[in-house]
Order: sequence, then C-alpha cells, then structure tokens
Amino acid sequence: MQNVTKWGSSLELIGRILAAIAALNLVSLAVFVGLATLQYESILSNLTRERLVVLAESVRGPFQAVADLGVSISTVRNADAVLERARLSDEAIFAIQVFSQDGKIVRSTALKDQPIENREVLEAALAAGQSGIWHVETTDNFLIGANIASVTGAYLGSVVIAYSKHEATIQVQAMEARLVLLALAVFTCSVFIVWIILRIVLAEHLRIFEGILSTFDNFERKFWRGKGATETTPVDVEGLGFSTAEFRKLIEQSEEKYLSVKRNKAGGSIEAIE
Amino acid sequence: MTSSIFQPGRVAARRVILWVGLVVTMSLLIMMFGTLRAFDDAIQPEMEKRSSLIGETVRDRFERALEIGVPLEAVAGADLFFDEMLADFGDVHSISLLSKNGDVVLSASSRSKQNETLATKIAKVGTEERPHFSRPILSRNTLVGEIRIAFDPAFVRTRLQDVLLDVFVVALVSILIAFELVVFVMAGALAKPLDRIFLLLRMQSTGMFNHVIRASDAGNLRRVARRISDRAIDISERTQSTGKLLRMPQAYFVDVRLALFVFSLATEISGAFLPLYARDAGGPEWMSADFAATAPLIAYLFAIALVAPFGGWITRLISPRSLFLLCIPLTAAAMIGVGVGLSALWIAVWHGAMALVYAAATIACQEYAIRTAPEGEDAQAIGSYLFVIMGGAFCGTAFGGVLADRIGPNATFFFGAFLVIIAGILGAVTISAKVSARSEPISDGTGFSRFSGLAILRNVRFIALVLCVGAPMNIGMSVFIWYLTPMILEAEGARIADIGRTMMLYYIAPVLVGPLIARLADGKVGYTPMLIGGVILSGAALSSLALWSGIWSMVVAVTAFGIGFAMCDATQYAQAIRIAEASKIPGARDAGLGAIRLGDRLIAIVGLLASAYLIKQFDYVNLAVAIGGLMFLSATVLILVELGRALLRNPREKKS
Repeated sequence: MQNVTKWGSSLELIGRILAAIAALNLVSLAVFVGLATLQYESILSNLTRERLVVLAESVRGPFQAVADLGVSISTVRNADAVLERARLSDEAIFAIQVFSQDGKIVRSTALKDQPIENREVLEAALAAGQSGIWHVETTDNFLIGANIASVTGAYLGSVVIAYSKHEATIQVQAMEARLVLLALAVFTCSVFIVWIILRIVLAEHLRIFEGILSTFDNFERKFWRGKGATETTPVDVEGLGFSTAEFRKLIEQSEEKYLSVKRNKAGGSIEAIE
Repeated sequence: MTSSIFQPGRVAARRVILWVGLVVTMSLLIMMFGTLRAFDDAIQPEMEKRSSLIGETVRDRFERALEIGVPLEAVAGADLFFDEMLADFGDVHSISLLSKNGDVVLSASSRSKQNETLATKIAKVGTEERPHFSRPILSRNTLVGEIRIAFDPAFVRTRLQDVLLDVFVVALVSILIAFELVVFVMAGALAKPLDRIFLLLRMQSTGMFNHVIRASDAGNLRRVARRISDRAIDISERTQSTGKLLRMPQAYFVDVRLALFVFSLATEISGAFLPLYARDAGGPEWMSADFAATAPLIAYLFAIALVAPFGGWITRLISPRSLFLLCIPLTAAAMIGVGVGLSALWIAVWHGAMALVYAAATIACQEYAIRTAPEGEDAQAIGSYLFVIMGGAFCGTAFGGVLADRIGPNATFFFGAFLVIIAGILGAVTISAKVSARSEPISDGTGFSRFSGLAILRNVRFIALVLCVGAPMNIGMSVFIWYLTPMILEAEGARIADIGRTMMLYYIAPVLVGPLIARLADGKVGYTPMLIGGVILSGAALSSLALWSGIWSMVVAVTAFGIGFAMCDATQYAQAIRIAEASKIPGARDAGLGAIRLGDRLIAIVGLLASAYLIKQFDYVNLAVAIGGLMFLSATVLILVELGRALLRNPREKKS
C-alpha cells in the first residue's frame, strides 16, 4: 500500500515536470518543422524558377534571332515545335505562349480553355524592360517570362511559361508529412529519455518527499493502533536542507499543543486561540 | 529552514536543466540530420530536371554550331556561355566539353566556396563525391564529343544554414523557458507544499490554530495538509468562529517568475529591429533619420528614468499583483500603437508609453521579489529577478528577430502584445494577492537621514564609480548595443534575423557567466579589479572594430561587451554599497543606489542624444570605436583613483 502511494506521488511529481518539458519539446519541434517546411518551399521554388528562367531564355532564342534580323516574331520557322518541345520537358508546364507588344498571342501551346491571364502578365512584361526576365504568381500558377527586344531595343513581345503550382504544393506537403513523422518519432524517444533522466536526477527530492510521508504515516499509525502497539522508529532522511526528524518533532509538538487547546476548550477556556 | 526553502526547487531545476538542454538540443540535431536527408531525397527529381535542361541547352548550342560547319574546338564564346550557365545555376560545380576521345576541350568551374559553410561542416550528409551528368554531342548522327556537368552536393545544405541558425535560437529559447517551467513546477509540487506544511506546523506548535492549507495548495502532501488543517477547523468549530480561518497566506517570488519572464520576452521582442523600424517609418521634416532611429530608445530611457524615483511610492499605494495586472492592458495597447507605426514620432511616443508601464510592472515584480525574499536574502532575490528579466530579454530579442524576418516588424509587435496578455493571464493565476509588506530599515526611516545620505555624492570614490563605470557602460549599452549594432549590421548586409541573433549574445552573456562573475567578485577577484576588468574588456571589444570589420567582428564585439557589462552590472551596485558603508554616512546606501539607478538612465539618454548629433561627424563604426576609447580612459581614471586611495590609506595605517 505504502509502495503504491510512493509510486503514485513520485509519478505525479515527475509527471508534471515531464509534461512541461514534453510540451516545450513538442513546441520547439513544431517550430522546427514549420521553419524547415518554409525553407524547403523556398528552396524548391527558387530551383524551379531558375530552371524556368533558363528554359524561357532558350525558347526565346529563335524568336530573338528573328527579331535581330528585323523580321516579325510570328515568322519563326517551327515555332510550335520549339514551344511544344520545351513544354514536354516538364509535366507541370501547362502552357508556353509568345505574345506581341500589344498583348496579342502570336504562338501558344495552350488549348483554348487554358488561357494565361493576360493583363497582369503584360504589365509585368512592360515593367521588366527590354530583354528582361519577369515572373508573376497567381493562385494556381507560376508565370515566368522572357522579353524579346527589337534591333533598336524596343519591346517586341514575350515568351511566357505557365507552370502549375499543384505539383510543388504536393511536394511541400509530402515533405511536411515526412518531417512531422520524424518529429513524432524524435519526440517519443526524447520523452522516454527525459523520463529516465528525471527519475535519476530527482531521486534525492523524491526520497525526502517520501521520507516525510512515511514519517507522517508512522505518526498516524499511533492513533489507529492505540496504546501498547510496538512503535516503529522510521529512518530519518536528510538532504537539500530538509530533515524528517524536524518534521516528526514539529508534528508531535503541534499535536500536543492541539490536544492541550482542546482540553482547555473542554474546560471552558479558549485563551490559547490567538 | 525558511531561508533555504527554495533550495530544492533551484537545485532540481539546475540538475534537470542541463539534461533537458541536452535532450532538446539532441532532438533538434537529429531533426536537422533527418531533414537534410529528406531534403536531399526530395530535391532529387528537380535536380534531374535541371541537369537535363542544362545538358540539353548546352548541347543544342554546340550542335547548332556543328550544323553550320564550325568544329567543336572553335565554337566562339563557349567559355562565356559556360560562365553564364554557372552563374544561372548555383548547384553546378563545373561544365566540361570533352572531345570524342575524352580529352577536355574546354572547362569552367564555380569558384564559390560553398563547401566550407557552417551547415556543411556540421552536417555532412549524402555522397561527398560530385554527381556527374553527361550528354553526347552528335553531328549528323556521329558522336563528336560530350558535355559533362558536375554538381555541388553541398548546394542544398548551404541553403539550410538559415534554418540551422534559427534552430539554435529555438533551442536556446526552449532551454531557458524549460528552466523557468521546471522552477515553476518544482515549486508548486515540492517547495511550496513543504514550506506551507512546516510553517503551519510551527504556528500550531506555538498555539496558533487559525490557518489552514487547502488540499490543492499542498501537492503530494495533501494528506498531511488535510490532517493538520483539520485541527484548526476543529478548534474553530468548538469556538464557533468558522469564518475566521485564513488560508495560508504564503507568497513566493517563484509565483511571479513565469509571468515576468513572458512579459520581459514580449516587451523586448523589438530589440533587434526597433531603430531600423523607426528610421524606416520616417518622421516629420525636422527629424533626421538618425534621430528618428534613436527617438524610441530615448523615449524608453526617459520614461524609465521618470518612473524609477516613484517606484517605492507606487508599491505602497497598490499591491504588486494589482499593479502588474493593471499594466498588462496598457502595455499591450502601447505595443499595438508601436506596431501600427504611423511615423517615427508616434513610434517614440508609444514606445515611451510602453516603457512607463513596463517600468511600473517590473517595479511591481521587483517589489514582490523583495517582499517574498527570506530575511537576509535580498541580493539573491534581486539576482533571481534580474536573471528572469535578462533571460526574457534574450529570448525576446532572438525570437523577435526571427519572427520579424518571417512575418514583418508590425505583426511582430502585435504578437508581442498577445504575449503580454498571456503574461497577464499567467500572472492573474499565479501571483498571490496578499504579500506582506516589509518594514522599512530603521536607520533610513527619518527624513533627516534620507537627506543626509546625499552626502555620499561628494565621495570621490563614489563619483569615480558613477563616472568611470556607470557612465561608459551605460553609454555602451544604449548607444552601442541598442542603436549602433543594428545600424552597423544592417550596413554590413545582415538581415533582421541575423541582427537579432547577434544582439541576443549581449543578453545571453550575463545569463551564462553572471553567476560565475558574482562568485568571483565576492571571492577571489574583488569588486574593484572586476569593475576595471569589465570596463577594459568592453573598451577593447569596441575599439577592436577599428581593426576589422564584417559581421563576425560585430559578433565578437557584442559578446565581449556582454561579458564586460555582466562584470560591471551587479558589481557596481555591490561596490556602491561597500563605499556607502565605508563612508559611515547615515542613509548613504539608499541614496547611493538611487543615484546610481537614476544616473545610469540619464547618462544613457545623454549618450543617445549625443550620438544622434555626433553621427553626422563620425560614421557608425567610428562612433563605436570612440566609445571604446572612452572606456579605456574611464578605466585609467578609475585605476588612478583607487591607487590614490590605497596610497593615502597606507601612510595613515602606518601612522596608526
């Protein structure tokens, strides 16, 4: 019975500290997973953007060559094949278009029901200046453009690659799930290790606490066993500035005082209550 | 017994915290390692697409040249083209053009030293040899050469460096919070129940039976609490005075620790970026950019100096708990005001308003610490209070920097306001409403002695202490740490998060080395050498900026100044007490401490005002070096004064 109580009390003390530390570790791991996922998203989008820029530049090549000769960009030989070949390099590219300075689409791999939002794109293209590279982010897509300039440097049009964000979102979610799983595994192990550490480190504290409780049990036992029972003297525990001997002395002294106050009360006196 | 009542809690917290710190750090390092592996794997398909694109782009270029009859070795501008590709793709280490015999015709490689970054040194994951990718070059279906591209395996890892630094900040902040939590939980489960039980038993032993302990206040000792409380209930029932039983009115400093920690963290959340934020917000035409940057700091110091003399008076009017809770909504409102950031002037006004209530709230906590401290443990109580404040400030600065980098400065202030409210809720739950007032020291009770204490201001050693330690160190803190550090680091190209990480070193130094310094100052080293050492170390730290520049020089200077400041901060007060006691002037102790507190704030304000003016003549770094020079000068004067005193005393001692 006594052992069960001891086990219970030590569990409660360790449990409380463990809960606090576990909660904190969980928060720091969650912050880590959040930061790492954000960083992964940023790394992935930067890598993709860099690749699309190079792709846009390579698609622009034939159109720029024609523009350098002073011929209209709509006259490029095999233009559709150039665009289609670039589009096939990545499944996430859903369209590549070439539009002229007035926003009119010159060439496109897009089907009619998949147009690229033109107004915002044209504004970004004009802002980027001659031969500029620009990008626009919409809710579903990532648009990368490369401007085509005439011999005189005037803006002639742009090549724009529309990249679906869907695949990138799935990749980020997959990474998040993987990190969450890892964090949960690390968390479970760390809680177990902290529990073992607490049991070792707090052993002295628990010893004193349990010493006080067993001294109290001994004190109480006298009441239900009554006079004549064999008296067991508990082993005194000392440490961290506490001693169970002092506790025993105090609880017995105060009990005597309590009894004497009670006796005085029975005798009609309450002078001891201050 | 009472004096050492919190020893078990503190001992436990210290013992536990080392292990907890280790476990938190280890779990974050394992996460880091796992994350790097996951990144390496997940990024692979994208890397393959890039390789394929690069290979094909390069190959197309060469095949087009071959089509019109240019030999592979004579393709014009190929080296420039390779350099362009290397610039476009950071992950490409080298591009080589090989002939069909395998001889290298042309090769270009990246000169960046990404392999030597922090992240790659700490976490070496994956294959160390460079992955290759090659594409054949054909001319009329005949193999004429090959393009070989080598990738940098450390590329992704270098991009993780930012996360790694943030993780260390998260780990440090977690460990400090864990310390506060363990102290809090240990007190609730162990120290407080023990103290209450022992106190009640002592009261009952002397015949006082009018107090009870609620079972919920007794932790695991609730059986004992019920039993001994029942004596008081029984006696009171017998005397028909049930209503008069009092709940054990014990209040402890530990009650306020967690709330104060979160409050300090919340109010220091802008530590890393306040001058930049105020400067960028812009002000009226008469306000220069440099003055705009310093204005909130000046307002802050001015407000604190304004409240400091009234601290004692306020706490006599209102209980520490009520004062702390009253300050919560006002602090939150002021922080929202700073976060709205209409202009530098408004930021300064709101930041000053926040400082007014911040000062009142911290005075409430300090008063609570002093009132709950066992007799003769005032210094330890103030030490614990300062530890919590500095720990909170450190976490706030570091955490605020990381946060502002991600969600912007305005939202960071709003988050700070939210944390202030959390601190208020914690305080409402944990701070005891009843805390007994301490009696005033008898010798200082009369108006006469308080007035006569001011005579300490004529003591040469005391003046030297204020002017040669308090003045340079507080100018260093307000001008160098709060104002120049963010400015210099920003000019070096550091982001807000990096500024926060650097500034947190100033706050972490006292937390880590403070206890050791206090022991050394009290023991082997002594106050005067410790003070001189602190001023010289700080002077050397700041002056060293003349010799080297860059972010690392600032990291070293801020850390060294943090240690120097920690050497002087508490020692300065201890030395003031010693000088006051040696002077035998009645009331000199309190007058001296008050003069130092007020003097330090005023000097910091004067320093900031002067620096906002002087910055036009000097630049940021030169001003920091000049402050370093001032510190050396102060140390010299202090040495001369102390030597002079020693020489004067020796002949007297010889005569006597």
